[in-house]
Amino acid sequence: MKDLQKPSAGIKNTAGFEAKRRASDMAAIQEDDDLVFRRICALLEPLNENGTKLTRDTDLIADLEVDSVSVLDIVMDIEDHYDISIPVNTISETRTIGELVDAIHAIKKQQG
Amino acid sequence: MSLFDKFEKTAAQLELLSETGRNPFSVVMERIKSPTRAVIKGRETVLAGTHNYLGQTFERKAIEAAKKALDEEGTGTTGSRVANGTFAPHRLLEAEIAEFLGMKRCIVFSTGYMANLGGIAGLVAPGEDVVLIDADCHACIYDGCQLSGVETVRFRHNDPHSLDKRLGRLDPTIKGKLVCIEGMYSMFGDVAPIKEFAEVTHRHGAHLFVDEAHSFGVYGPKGRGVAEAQGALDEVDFYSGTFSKSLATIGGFVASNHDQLEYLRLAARPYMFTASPSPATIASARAALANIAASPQLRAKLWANAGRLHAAFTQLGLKLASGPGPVISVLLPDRETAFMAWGHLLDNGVYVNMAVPPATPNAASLLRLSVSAAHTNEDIDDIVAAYTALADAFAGARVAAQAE
Repeated sequence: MKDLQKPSAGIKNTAGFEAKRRASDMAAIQEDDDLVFRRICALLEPLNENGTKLTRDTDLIADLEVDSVSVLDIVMDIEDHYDISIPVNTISETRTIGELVDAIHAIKKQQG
Repeated sequence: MSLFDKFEKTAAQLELLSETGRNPFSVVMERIKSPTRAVIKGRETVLAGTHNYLGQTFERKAIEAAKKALDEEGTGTTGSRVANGTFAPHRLLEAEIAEFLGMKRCIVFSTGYMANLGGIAGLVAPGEDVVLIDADCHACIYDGCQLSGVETVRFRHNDPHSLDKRLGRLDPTIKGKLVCIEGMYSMFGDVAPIKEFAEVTHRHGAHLFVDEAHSFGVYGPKGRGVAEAQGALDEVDFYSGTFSKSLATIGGFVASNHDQLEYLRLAARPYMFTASPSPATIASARAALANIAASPQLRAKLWANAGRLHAAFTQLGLKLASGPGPVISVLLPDRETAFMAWGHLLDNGVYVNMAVPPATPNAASLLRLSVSAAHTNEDIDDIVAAYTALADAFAGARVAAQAE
């Protein structure tokens, strides 16, 4: 029987990342978060047919009505831009733009 | 709040579809008349969306073999392959598929969906391995990854360089790396550059899994699929296929030259925890396989029909998703046009598949036609006439599509 509790081998789990941030890194991270956030918003804008205001709390599927495949395609653009790999499993666990920013940030730090 | 809240949106959409009297998702074949004709809503209709590529549904030898199996072995196996559900013919079919492909091992599953589900989930372990999948892979490949719980990374469709980059980024401590692609992708009918993918895959110490569901029996000099057509069959580590298209029954398989494939019988849950294919199913699959192996003219007829339809549609100015092949998809500007156009074809006696996002790549809305070797000249004439009427009725859509 396979052990479902094992940690990920390739790209480590992003849970708890927020709590582990060291204060000295906060300013640099904040600036980087803004850049990642703005990039995601720019990629989402063509799909934002109702002109919903995009914030970290915007739910990709419920608020923007973006289908799951479109989310995966947007993530592919982000992967190529930052030269990182974001597993499908991670994307399935993110609902809001803020969660996506955090996940990308964690992976960037690990793979970068 | 209730369990059923989630269906409200679907219910509203279904209601809209029902009001139009044409729901592409609830077509009933009232009477089947031949491999390419059925009665739908009281009208005789040409079937051009059934993936019956080699027209084997009424193959005499397959029907006789199935009847004999019913008489001699009964209606069902009533058990899993790992318990009482392996009859001698299940093993014979596995040997025959392996021989047809020139591979050492083969395992038969109850459906094509389960073959990919079990093949992938049985091969990889979460926390140890990683699966890399082409972005346009079929739902069953995504589901296989999900069933295993393995980390899954998507690469750009038909782009070996995109795969190369993602394999290069992986943590060196990862044990196994499985790359999944399809021979022919069923939405657009485009084919993978398998040789290039195999080179990248093996350079990184990964294994290549190729789903040839739509291309088995159809591509290649001997019908061994796109891998054979591209001279890359020896470089495929795992080859999956289905019986529900070129063999015109139901079931699926995974074949390989790796002896370790055998262990899937005790690792793949979709193999272990479901009943095995019925004796009649196995018998007709064996007869159809023998027939298509001995009948290269079936493939020749399929490709001739595909060429004729593709040329006619090009002449009409329709925007096509790929070159001539067993799947010919017409791209339309949006869902609404696709829905109207689909209904228009059905009203003119031709059944095809309507496909809209998110089931399609690049958010495309399209009408998917599948060509059959059994399509007669009259069938082809009727299909071309219906598409001509469509191009006239949707002149705006045609121009818009061309202007893109």
